[in-house]
Amino acid sequence: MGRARATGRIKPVIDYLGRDNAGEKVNPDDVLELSRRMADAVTDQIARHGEEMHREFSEIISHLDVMRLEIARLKAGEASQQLPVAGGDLRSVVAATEEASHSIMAAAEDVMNDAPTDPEAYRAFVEEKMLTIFEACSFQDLAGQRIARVAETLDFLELRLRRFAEHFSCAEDAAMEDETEKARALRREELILHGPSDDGISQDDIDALFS
Amino acid sequence: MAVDLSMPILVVDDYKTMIRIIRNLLKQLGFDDVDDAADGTEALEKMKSRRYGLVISDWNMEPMTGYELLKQVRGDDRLGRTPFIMITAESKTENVIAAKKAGVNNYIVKPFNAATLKAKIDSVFGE
Repeated sequence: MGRARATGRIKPVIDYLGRDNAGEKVNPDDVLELSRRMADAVTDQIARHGEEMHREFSEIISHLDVMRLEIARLKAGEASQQLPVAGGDLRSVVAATEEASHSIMAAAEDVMNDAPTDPEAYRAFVEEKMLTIFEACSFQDLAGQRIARVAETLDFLELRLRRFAEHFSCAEDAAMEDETEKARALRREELILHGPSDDGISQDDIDALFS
Repeated sequence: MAVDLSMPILVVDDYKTMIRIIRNLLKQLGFDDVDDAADGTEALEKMKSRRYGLVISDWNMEPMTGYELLKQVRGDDRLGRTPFIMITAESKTENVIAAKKAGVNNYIVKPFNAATLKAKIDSVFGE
């Protein structure tokens, strides 16, 4: 609408310039009128675009505020604690499974390579190796706990990223934590606080506490 | 006090693999009467219907944790004196101290081996 109005104001000027004006004297009043009309048209356009730009910038700022808030939550909240723990958990799982596989294979190889001469001694030998295999299999329990904790961290990140996406596809949908998420957050906290720990005390330290 | 190899032992853990491992280790150590429960609630039910010579429990279980089970057992007049060993990944000092204060007889950190299990059982029974 603003553009049509501005075009209407400068239309006579455009028509005048489009005519063959050769030999005509330029009237100073016409020049002044031309300047005034041009200035009005430009001012009108600037005012109109200014309003649009102001609204656009306000929306961008509003989005940025939401984004900043979400990033602050990720940074100050659980993510900053969970991500390093999740990384450590996965590394521990890799190390534990490798060690367990090695122990199990080594025990099996020992049994396969043994040449039995004394049946009783062989039985004791096999039982000892079976015991080693049982012990090695305990990695599954710890690995399970660690992987469960990593899965919780991934769920948490998925939730936050989904919220990011929702903010940018629907700016007014700024619903924050609901009851389900609060319960999940509590459970995540428990998982972080409990379970396998890389900085826990050793069995020797525990024995000292019980001695 | 000598360790009675015929005593019934209750193993409490929510990981079936872990129960199987502990059961097999106990069998290797000479214990044949081994029962199991998947959490503290089930363990308490079983303890009320049978007298066990030893309870070996994990810490992290739902709905009732091993720590809660320990406190319930110690607070029960009839079950209160049952020897109780915690086998768990919980190796934070405060957890060990909390378990000790609650009356646990010994505490084993996972992963562990048969020798550690035997040593702790012997220790509980004063060998």
